[in-house]
Amino acid sequence: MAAPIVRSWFLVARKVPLPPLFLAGERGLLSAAYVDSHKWEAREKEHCHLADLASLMDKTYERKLPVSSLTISRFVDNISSREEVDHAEYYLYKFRHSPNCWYLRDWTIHTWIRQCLKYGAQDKALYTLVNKVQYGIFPDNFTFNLLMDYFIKKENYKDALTVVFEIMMQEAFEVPSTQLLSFHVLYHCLAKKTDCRWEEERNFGASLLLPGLKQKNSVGLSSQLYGYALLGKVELQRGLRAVYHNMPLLWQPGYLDRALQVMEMVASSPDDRKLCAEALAVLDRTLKTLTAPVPAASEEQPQEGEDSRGSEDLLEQLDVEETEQSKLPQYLERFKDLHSKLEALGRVESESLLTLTTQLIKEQLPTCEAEDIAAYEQKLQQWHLERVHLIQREEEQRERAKQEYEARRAAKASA
Amino acid sequence: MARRKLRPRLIAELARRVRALREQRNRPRDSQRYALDYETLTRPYSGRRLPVRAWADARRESSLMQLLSRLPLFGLGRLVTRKSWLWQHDEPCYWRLTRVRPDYTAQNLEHGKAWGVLTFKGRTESEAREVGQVMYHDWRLVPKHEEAAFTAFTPAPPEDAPRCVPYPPLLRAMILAERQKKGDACTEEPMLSLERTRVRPWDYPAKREAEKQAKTTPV
Repeated sequence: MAAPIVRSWFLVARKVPLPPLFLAGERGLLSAAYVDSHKWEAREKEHCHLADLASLMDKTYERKLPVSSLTISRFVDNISSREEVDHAEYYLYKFRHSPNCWYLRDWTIHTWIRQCLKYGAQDKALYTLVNKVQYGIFPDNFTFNLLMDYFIKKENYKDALTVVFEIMMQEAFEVPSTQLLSFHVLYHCLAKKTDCRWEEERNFGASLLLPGLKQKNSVGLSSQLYGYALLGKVELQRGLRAVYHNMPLLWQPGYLDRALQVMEMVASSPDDRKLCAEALAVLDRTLKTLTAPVPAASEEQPQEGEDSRGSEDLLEQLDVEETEQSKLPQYLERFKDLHSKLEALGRVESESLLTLTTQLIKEQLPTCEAEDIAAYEQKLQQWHLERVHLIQREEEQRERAKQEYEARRAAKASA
Repeated sequence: MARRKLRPRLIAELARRVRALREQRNRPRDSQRYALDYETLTRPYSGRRLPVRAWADARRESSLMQLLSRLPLFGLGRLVTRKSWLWQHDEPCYWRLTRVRPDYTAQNLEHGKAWGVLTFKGRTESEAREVGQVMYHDWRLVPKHEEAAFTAFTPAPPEDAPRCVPYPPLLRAMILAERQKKGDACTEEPMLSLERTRVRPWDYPAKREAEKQAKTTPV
């Protein structure tokens, strides 16, 4: 009687440990070794009861005393279900609005994102990332890569684009793997989109520009060109302040000029770097749209735009002798000359940017990943040491406080 | 007439200390003092309106902590400039931040204090000090990829003009006569120095008073 039940239990039990990495149709860019969470799971963590930590934090906040970063990191470490993710979000908000907000540790932020992805709360992770001012979530490159790869696997390019814009706002394009992943997401989204609002164009421009400055190959240079073209378009349509306000961009006018300087640099440099025809076409289209006379039907919109920028930019443009608007015909001339020069030198790449990026990723991503994984392991060690140091310090402080209390009690008893 | 010794008024003393403690505990935080109503451009705490020349800037630019709340570690080690410096001087003027303490009672963490090393018109100071006028809507963050270009500064070559010049003949005679009267046996030619006294520009950030008071030694 028991045997068939036991057999069926075995059959059911065998189905459970399927690795969740190879579900049908989901392919991320990063290798399985990168996304693997075994090293992170194997870290030493203190097992604390979440309810105890929560009551401790509530009591400390009531008494208006500062909460230590260890407490919040223990809380985030011990999350074990989806509801607890919401509780942790609340306590992260409270920590950010407490005196110790500067001391939110890297490992807490990393653990928070990992836990969110583990318990399927990726929208929560994205929400806290977008509202980083309120939650204090500033992940490092490894965590950003994990998050982006998760969204790429799910084919959720909209959310992956939001992540890329956040990386751009934090100017965290240092590591090559992040740059490559962001290029992939950006070109994928650009290929699909036809018309964008000016804020999206500005964000696209900046996110193409910043990693493009770091990559010294055709993809990088074409991205710089594309970024400068988009930013120049926003500059001339909405004013310079619209470009640099709340963005990691410089307030000097002349983004189209810088685009043309990139072309000149490529034309005059001796190595074999090429510019993509797609990016050149975008710059061409931008220049033509801006020099074309504005049609009568849509006169209201540009008038509104001009009023808002007229009074504001008047102050900044007083010193400038020629406005960008007047330089547009010159830019068009220069562009035509440089374009013909580049074609004559054979420096125009005809493949699309997305194919070029995919090629580059295939070549360079494995090496970048290996470096990243080594750096991550070192960082795990460092975090462990720091955590041990902090726990030690906490113990010592507790001992000292207890001794003082005892001394005071003894003094009071003897007095 | 001998005065009677004053009775020590203990309760008054206690009350004074309690009042001081309560004032310290309930002091208005930066977020309350420097909150700004952007429609009428008044500070709700004091009810005062911003000066006229600041109205355009308050609408367009951001205050320092508004920029830093969006950065990891509140922008430690980043460069920040002021728009007024950008418009006034050609040479690079910026603060490199070394320490930031945001005001945690603010909703968006957009008030607080910051400390850093000042570089004004290309000359860097040696020590960090508190950044002044943090609540002014005048600040801009220098992007990381532009930092090198922004801080590049070649000081002007020192002038070859003469440093000392002999006095005009009448004044020279007067000086020599004075010397003879005093009995000064110096035979050195009296020279007029042409060195310029270094006058600081009017918008050089002054030292904050709180730091000055803190440094006085107790007697």
